[in-house]
Amino acid sequence: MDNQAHEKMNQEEFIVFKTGAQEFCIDIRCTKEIRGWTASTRLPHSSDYVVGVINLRGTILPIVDLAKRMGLDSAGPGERHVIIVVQLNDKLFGLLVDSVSDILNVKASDLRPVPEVNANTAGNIFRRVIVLESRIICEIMLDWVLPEIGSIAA
Amino acid sequence: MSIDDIKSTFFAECADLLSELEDGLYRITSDGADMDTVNAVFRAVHSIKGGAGAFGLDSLVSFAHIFENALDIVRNDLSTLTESSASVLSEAADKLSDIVACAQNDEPVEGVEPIQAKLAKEFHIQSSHKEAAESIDYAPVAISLGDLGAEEAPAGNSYTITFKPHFDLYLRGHDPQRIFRELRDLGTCTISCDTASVPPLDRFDPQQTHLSWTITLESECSEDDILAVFNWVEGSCEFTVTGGAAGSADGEIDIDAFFESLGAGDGGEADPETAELLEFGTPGIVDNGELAPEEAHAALDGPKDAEAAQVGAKKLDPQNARADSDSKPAKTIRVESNKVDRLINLMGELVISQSMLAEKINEAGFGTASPPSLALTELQNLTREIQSSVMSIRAQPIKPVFMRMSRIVREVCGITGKKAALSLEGEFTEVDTTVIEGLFDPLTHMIRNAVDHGIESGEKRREAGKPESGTIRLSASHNSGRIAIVVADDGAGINRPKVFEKAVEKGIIAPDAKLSDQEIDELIMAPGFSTADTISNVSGRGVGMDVVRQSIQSLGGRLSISCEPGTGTVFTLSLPLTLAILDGMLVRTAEQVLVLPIAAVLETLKPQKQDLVEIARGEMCVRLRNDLVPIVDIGHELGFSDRKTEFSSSIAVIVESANGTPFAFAVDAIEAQQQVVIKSLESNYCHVPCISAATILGNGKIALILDVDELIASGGRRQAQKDRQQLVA
Repeated sequence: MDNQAHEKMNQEEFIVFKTGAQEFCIDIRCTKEIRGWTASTRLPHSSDYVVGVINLRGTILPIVDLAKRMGLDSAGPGERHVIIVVQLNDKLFGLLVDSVSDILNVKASDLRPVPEVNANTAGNIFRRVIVLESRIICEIMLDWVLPEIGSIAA
Repeated sequence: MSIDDIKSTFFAECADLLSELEDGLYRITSDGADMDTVNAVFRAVHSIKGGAGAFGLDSLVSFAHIFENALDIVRNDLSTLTESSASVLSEAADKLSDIVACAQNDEPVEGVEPIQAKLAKEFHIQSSHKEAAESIDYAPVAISLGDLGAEEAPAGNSYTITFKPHFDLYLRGHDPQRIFRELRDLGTCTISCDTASVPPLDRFDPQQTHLSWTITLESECSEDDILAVFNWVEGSCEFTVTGGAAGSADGEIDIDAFFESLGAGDGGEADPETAELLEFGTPGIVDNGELAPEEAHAALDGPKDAEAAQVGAKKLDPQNARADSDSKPAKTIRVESNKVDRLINLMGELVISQSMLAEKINEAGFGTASPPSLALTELQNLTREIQSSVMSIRAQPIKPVFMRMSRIVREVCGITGKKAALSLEGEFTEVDTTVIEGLFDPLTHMIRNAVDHGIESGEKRREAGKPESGTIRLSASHNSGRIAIVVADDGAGINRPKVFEKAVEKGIIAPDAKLSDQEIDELIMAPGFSTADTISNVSGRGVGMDVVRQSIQSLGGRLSISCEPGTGTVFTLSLPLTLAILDGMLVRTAEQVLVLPIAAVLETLKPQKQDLVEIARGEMCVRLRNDLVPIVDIGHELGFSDRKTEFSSSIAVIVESANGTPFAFAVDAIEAQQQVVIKSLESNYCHVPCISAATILGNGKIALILDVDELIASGGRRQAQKDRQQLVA
């Protein structure tokens, strides 16, 4: 029993989702909710990965097309997409992804630092890497997703 | 409630008292001293001292005590108040607020002794005054007795009233008993009934009246009061009133004169209903008995009522009226501002649900005259009223912020050795508290700049033929749904060549840039710009006007500058009245629904082909009567669509820019006009150019609220760039 509890303590939970034909994940504690796609309102003069804003029960929620943000192929928002609402500091925003596939309990020993491939880019985009037997999933660094928010906080 | 809670209440009260103190001292320096103001100032200091004593804040108590002594001397002899002593008092007030702030943060206080010494020296305070100050408590407050216009009626008048009703009186449903009851309310009545004319039963005619009464009334009331009782039965009875101090012996009543006096009685607006009825002023209305006797009573009695007397006083003398309202402050309660904020948020949700309902009713195909639509209109009116009441809770006069500026002027004058006075206008203009809070820092900065950079030194001013002491004008006013705040100095104005030089030096502009005067003036608001040769303690650290501009923008406001070399600089701030709800016009362009603030919209029109003129370089203008108004293609300006060249199918919404010039916004259609709730984009995102905020429409979708001036400016900038490129080419 004790052992199990200890093991649980050392585990972290992640939400795994697909976008641009790849799997990524984020810390489940940052996730507020997952919802279907609703039509958004475009923002003028915004970066191309900012799809627009939607009404989340009275809150104005900016939506980021994650695939576009990472430079992957994106078909643009559609009915099949889902929005993961995440919270970063005191700001809420939505990640537009293809689908949510999994919730993973990961042991600390399965979490690796991001390999220094091309020091600047990968290190900025990803926080850690989950290495499981059959899968390798990168954890997205949420600070990086919406720099517009970062610049305000700074 | 813990001691900490009580303490924080004390500090909240201190803040109020300090602003009262500041206000009083300002009035003394600007309008000269009068006893009421000095008393008010004294009371403020005294209350702070009392509260501080309860919490054992010794440094505060001892300073407040000396301050109080000085004020006591002034109170006893107004002639001790000279220009120099008033300035010492102001300094002491500044120090007092410092000490309060230090006490609040548990910080040690510095620099108290020099001011204490100054106070002691200026007012020759000796220890004996201490006792004097202790023994005197609150000054008596004048109480207005409200006898204005009231009938003087010596006490204990004795009236004899005879009353003989006609049968008519009973026919009309009157009852003599009512009259007796009312007379009894006026004073002590002795009523005797004359039954002499009552016939024997066999000759008794029930259609005849036989009784009459004699009433002796001991009362302080006037004859008019008695007449009022008979107001309803006149014509259907015989009655006489005799006696009273006025000695209207014959007792014959001139009914016409009586009603005239009734008509004139509307000075006592005790009861709005009565006042309304009396405004018709006609005996006719009174005659047909629609007015209850109590109301008529109140109307005649009105001037005795204290409230009515105050109304009278206000009519007589507006200045007195202010003193009146000062001495009788409206009842207030302290409410945490987040409770009000919550109310305002809920109000916003209500407005959204209301527009959803409106949309549903519309979809269901109900006409505008159908019951659901009418009920909705009713609801909308109510909502609007609730909304304005809710907003007025948060609206406060801008005065406290303005008052704090006079301290800033004093301090900066002290550091720079310049002389400047602050003149305030429109300090009672009411603004949303959130706006007021956000205004303090930018205003402080601008006032500092005005003294430090704007006003010249004494010699320079003399050379230029100006009075040695500079003037800084700070004014606030309501201006078409926004509030305008002006900070104007009568200094040297902006040194344009120097600004240009500095801007080049700092790499803000290219050395060969060609800028208009206006553009050069605006350079001082560029980030990292500072012209001061020496970095002074006051301003000139390079984080100046750009920070001011940013903080104004974050309040949804605009900052503009105008300058006349040699005569001064004028900064104009334009701010929204509230940050919660806005009257908007919903327009559609490039498939997007956008909201234009109604306050900015002048008119809308559908341009005819012949009214569209192409001014050079593809810039279109529309003819509006005798003017040509440039067209701004919103869809293109926002990057939603390609540039239009053809506007004949568009609708032109004529809007007014900050400086009053009209522009035509081309849109595809006007959808509706409705109230929208302002939702910040910054709370989860960042500032978006040309967009001031967002809102949620009835269908749950988000619409962006356009920032009219930024849109115009962005169009203008593009134009200016083009011009320059052409010049270079």
